[in-house]
Amino acid sequence: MDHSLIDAEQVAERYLLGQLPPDEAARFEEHSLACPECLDRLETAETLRLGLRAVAAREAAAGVVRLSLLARLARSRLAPWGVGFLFLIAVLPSFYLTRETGRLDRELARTREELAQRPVPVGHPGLPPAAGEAERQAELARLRAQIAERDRQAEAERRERERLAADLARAKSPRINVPVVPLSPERSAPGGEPTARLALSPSTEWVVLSLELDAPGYPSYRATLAGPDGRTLWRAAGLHPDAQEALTVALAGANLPAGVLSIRVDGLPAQGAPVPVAGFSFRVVRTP
Amino acid sequence: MLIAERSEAEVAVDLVRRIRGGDRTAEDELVARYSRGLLFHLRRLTGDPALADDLHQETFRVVLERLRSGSITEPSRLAGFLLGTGRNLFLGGYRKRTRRGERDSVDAAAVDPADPSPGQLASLVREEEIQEVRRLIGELGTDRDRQLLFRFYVAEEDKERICADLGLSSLHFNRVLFRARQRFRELLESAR
Repeated sequence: MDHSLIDAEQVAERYLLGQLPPDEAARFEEHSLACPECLDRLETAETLRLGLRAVAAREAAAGVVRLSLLARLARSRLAPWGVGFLFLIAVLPSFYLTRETGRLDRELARTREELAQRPVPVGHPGLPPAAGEAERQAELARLRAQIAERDRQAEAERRERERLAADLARAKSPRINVPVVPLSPERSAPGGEPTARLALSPSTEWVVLSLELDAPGYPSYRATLAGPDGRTLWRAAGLHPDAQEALTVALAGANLPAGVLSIRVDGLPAQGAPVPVAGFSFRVVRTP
Repeated sequence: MLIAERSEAEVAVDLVRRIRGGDRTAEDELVARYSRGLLFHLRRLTGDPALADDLHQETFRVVLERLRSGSITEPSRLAGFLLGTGRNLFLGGYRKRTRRGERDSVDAAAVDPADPSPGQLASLVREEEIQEVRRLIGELGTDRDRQLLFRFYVAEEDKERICADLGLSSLHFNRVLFRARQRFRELLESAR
């Protein structure tokens, strides 16, 4: 096999991630069995893949530990002190930002005042300005540029603070009438018109899909959402059904394109290959 | 491309012929040639290094018996026969599934390696290797390159989507991935 092509098209990486067509995967697999160069590629990429996963898993676990510490802190008698401490941590950056903005505003006002008091030299028409005058003009231009830049910075910071405040308010507010769509597994061959139809207006922020699983029995599941063109829009593994034997997934409405979307659910056994469990499809219609 | 494939097929046919003729050095050559690759694929398949070691030995035992008795139908696909035998042993002997008959060919789609769980990850990747991964992440020039690696290797997103989201060209994507793999290999080699 052509090794430069293998490198250019990331054949080893795509093989490891299961992204090669079956016949190409089989060909590369057989080739790699007796090719030390490709085995080097595979071993390095696999170690990198597993290492990145381990790093990501540890970061996620550290996040869980932080959350559980917060939960324990909230239950403890020291909660008021803890909350105060957390409040300080949360508020300190904003406090610093506000103080810094104030300092810049004061400096700006002072510079404006200085400029207003300074006489503006007027050159004689038709004659080049004297050397001292030229320097003053240059200094004036520099100060004006500084003012303009500080104005721009202050405006950008103000807009950013407003945007963050609006985002925070929106995130804290309860969601009303979030569409909940129960989906049953497809019984017939895929490809037909789905019975479920989801009308999304531009104001629909979230959609909750409840995926009914017939006979859950695997330790965990993997769900893959594909768009109308078959491209994967979202994938997650390590999912567990709820007490009603359904997987409930909340999706951002803005990320769902119009057309027929499909979700494949695979069972993940303790060892061995994922097993297809159920397929779901629904049509997304965009309304004004 | 064809030259390399033909030479592998020729080597395989020669090995099969010599082993059938009772040449013990050919058996040693067979093991030396395919051992590392077979072990790599079995480790991915099982997610269990100890089990993979057992299967590795058992696969060579079964394949050598078949080769000595001359019952292999496609000598040029010896590599595929080894892989197929390893898979069948795993499926038949360790997962208590009913074997559906002997096959010389490989059905690559029949078995996909499972995603390792966090517990399995710990046995498949060593602490030093994780440290080198962290070092590599730290060495990457931009946050965009870090995102690229995580989205490709961990989130398993398509190249096209990653390029579209991060505003990258296909060439830049290839370059980052290639350099990351090369640099990671250097880091691993210097750590060993």
